[in-house]
Amino acid sequence: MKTLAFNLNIHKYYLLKKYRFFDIGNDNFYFDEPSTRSAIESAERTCLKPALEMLLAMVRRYKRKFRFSITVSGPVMQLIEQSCPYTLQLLKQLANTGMVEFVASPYNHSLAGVNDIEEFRRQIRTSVSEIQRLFGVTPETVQNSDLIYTDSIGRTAYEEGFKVMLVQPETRSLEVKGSDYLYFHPTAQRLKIVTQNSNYSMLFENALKDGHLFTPEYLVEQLGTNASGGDILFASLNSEYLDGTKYNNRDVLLLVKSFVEKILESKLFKFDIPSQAIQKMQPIGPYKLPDPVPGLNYPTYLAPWLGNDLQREAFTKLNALKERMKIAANPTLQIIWQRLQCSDYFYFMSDGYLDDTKQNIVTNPFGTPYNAFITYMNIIGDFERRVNLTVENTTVEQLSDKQIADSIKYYQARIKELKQEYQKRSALK
Amino acid sequence: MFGWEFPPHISGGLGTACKGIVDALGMRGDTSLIFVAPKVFGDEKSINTVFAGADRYAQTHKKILDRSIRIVLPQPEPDQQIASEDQLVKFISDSDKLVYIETASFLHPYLQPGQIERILLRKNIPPEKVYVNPSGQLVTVENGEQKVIEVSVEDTHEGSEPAKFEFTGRYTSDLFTETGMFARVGEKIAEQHNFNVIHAHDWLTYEAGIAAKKATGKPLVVHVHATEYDRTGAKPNPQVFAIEKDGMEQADAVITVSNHTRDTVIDKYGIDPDKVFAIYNGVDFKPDRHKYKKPKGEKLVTFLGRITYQKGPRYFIEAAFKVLRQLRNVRFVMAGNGDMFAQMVTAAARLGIADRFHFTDFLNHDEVRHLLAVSDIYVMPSVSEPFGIAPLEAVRSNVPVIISKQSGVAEVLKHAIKVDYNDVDSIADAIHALIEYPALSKHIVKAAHNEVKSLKWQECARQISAVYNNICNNQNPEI
Repeated sequence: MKTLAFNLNIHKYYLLKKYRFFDIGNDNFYFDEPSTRSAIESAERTCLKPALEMLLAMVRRYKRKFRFSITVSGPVMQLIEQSCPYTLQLLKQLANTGMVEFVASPYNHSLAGVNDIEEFRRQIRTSVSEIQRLFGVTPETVQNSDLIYTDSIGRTAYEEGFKVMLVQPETRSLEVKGSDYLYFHPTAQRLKIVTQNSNYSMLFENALKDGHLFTPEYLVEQLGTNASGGDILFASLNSEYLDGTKYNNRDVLLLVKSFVEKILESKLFKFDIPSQAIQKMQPIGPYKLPDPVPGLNYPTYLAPWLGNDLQREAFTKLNALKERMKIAANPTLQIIWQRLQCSDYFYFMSDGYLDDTKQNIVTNPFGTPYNAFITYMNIIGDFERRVNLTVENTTVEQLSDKQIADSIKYYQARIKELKQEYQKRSALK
Repeated sequence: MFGWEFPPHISGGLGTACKGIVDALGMRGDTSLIFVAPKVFGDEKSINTVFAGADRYAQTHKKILDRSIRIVLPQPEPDQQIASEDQLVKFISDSDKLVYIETASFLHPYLQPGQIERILLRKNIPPEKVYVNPSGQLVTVENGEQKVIEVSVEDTHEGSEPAKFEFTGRYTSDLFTETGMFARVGEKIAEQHNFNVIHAHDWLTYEAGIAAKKATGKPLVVHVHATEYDRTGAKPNPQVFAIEKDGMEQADAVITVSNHTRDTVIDKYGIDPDKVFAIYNGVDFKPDRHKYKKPKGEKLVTFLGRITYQKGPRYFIEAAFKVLRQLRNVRFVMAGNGDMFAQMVTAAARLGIADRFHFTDFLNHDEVRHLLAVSDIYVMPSVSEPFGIAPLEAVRSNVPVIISKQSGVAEVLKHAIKVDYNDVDSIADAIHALIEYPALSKHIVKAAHNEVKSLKWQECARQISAVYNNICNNQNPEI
């Protein structure tokens, strides 16, 4: 019997205001708070509440037979805590059943794993403590934002005590067999790696979009045909797909429900959560994916976020603030800094959004990648100005111990930089 | 094929497009053309094409010449009528009203600023005594009686030019007389040649196309490069509108230069969507590869086109003003001429940006190439643009473009910043971003360049040829 590991991914980002260059220096507010709040409230109404209610009922009804995992991003934890107490309650109840696993992920849904592993580690820790605080469970499984993975991300996850990591595989790295097998980290071998098979996610996404073409029986059959012979079939589904209002109010939940029933009847598959499933199987080999080489172009699996010049430029600008943010003793700026790291802003700068014919489930709130880039860069421009002011005007007494240490490091680096430049200039004279 | 102009003698958008189509159709080898223009100079060249000038035929039809013309102006706004007791609106030269009057559709394309005043002065009519009556005619009031000002062809000639009437092929205020005559000689030309399809470019030639169709029974294709709605906004000249509508209705197929124009043709002219085909223009522009020395650290933002309501020059000035409040390392240039020229110069001065905002007046082809070669950003804030070839020429010159969503070219160019024409904040923001964030400019230039490479006149000709085959097969199966 093959194992089906389903993951429900719940993520939202803070909407940005239309921030013009002439707002730089005049407007301290970057986020469209009312729209962000109404977006999460509407998601609760049309999607989270009905979907989570149904899933909770099913988990209770099928006892141990129906299990799945949930990833809740940091922004969503913040937003539902503020605006959606009922959804928070439903998630708590799901956690209480013990049948649903909560997966840790970088709290700010950032791309830090790509180039700043310590920031990645910090965000994973925040995610764990927030999941403990809000849902009363401790995650044993981890994933990076958008399932991005490299060897050092895996190693860090292992160091943080996780047993299993969910990843979107880079197909060339699956030199052994394919997606549906369990792997382990090449050096930190106790970390197991479950790779997503995109065929399943696509199958379900299409089924939920064009329900009339797909019967539950067909889905079960397709799962069988698509499987590459491995034992663990993992698919992550964004919660947006469970929103019936997005597909002419079709009853997508009914499809999910009857699909689960058919799976249970078929006896070909069983549902499980990653941390449990891996205990009963043997990994078939290491999954290797070397880190991107600094200074070179980002590898193709990062293309959706860092594929074009705009995305890379915005990411570079953001990262240029990293060191200064360590010593900027201003809570407001720290919150903004965390929010601005969200991977979605980079995703909306992707060229894919120029193609009108392509239907994206996630509509680009900026309209075009160019508008996304312009708005983001204007905001970063103003934010940088404020960070610089704060760093300049902070007195030593205001700094924490760590900030003092970081300041010493920052200024040492700065002095070194200035000395080099000075020597270079004197040499020229 | 009926056209109004053909390079090298006029390098307007219509002439350029006609040349692109004629050359590419001729090169196909399966099509030969007779190109009828009002005036043929003898140095027009293209493969498989005979050029016929209507002016030679006109010599033998002198009788039909009708010298008197009327300047028809758009209807005054209702609120202006109420404001004026005697239903007359004062004709004021140095104000917004002048602009308004000069947007009379067939006048505005190439009427020089001040021409109406000069005509009036030569007639010894003081401009302050001139009004516009409700039917759009210029009138003076003498002893309480309205008198219509008659303007004849001779009046439009500047200086001591002989008042001999001939086909000029230019856009002057006697266009209606010319198009009417063109139709009659077009009919004669059609009778004397053998062909399968009649193809007429823009309303100036529709009457000729219809006449030729009536005389020969051959199918007619009308090619819409621009409609009266594009030229005048919401106030079309009824006479031009009628000619356009008639042409489209009588045509067996209507070709539009974009879906934007196709929608106009279907919605405003009520044409059967099944016979309207959008076929994009090609672009055939050799950029100036010469490396010019540019002022260090300064960026040049360019507006290029007729300075008329349709092209949205005021939005460019307003955006420039917003940008210049924040950035000083940038210059703006408005290249071209038109009825809003004086108004724009005044506006730049009034906004206090004249030191950074420059006007060049009309530029010839080489000057355009030079300007594009030194430009850093190209802005086209057109209120309505059926296609808009100029932004593609800018892209060919490696200049990133900001174009209005109300343009046909926005349909084919993905890699451009698209804005609503009157969204000045967005235009300014885009200009600022292209200057301050070099990655944006770099990305757009690279990506757009590849896109424009695929826009070829050959592809346009292939689709036109398919339309020809389609209508010939429906009506005349043996061809």
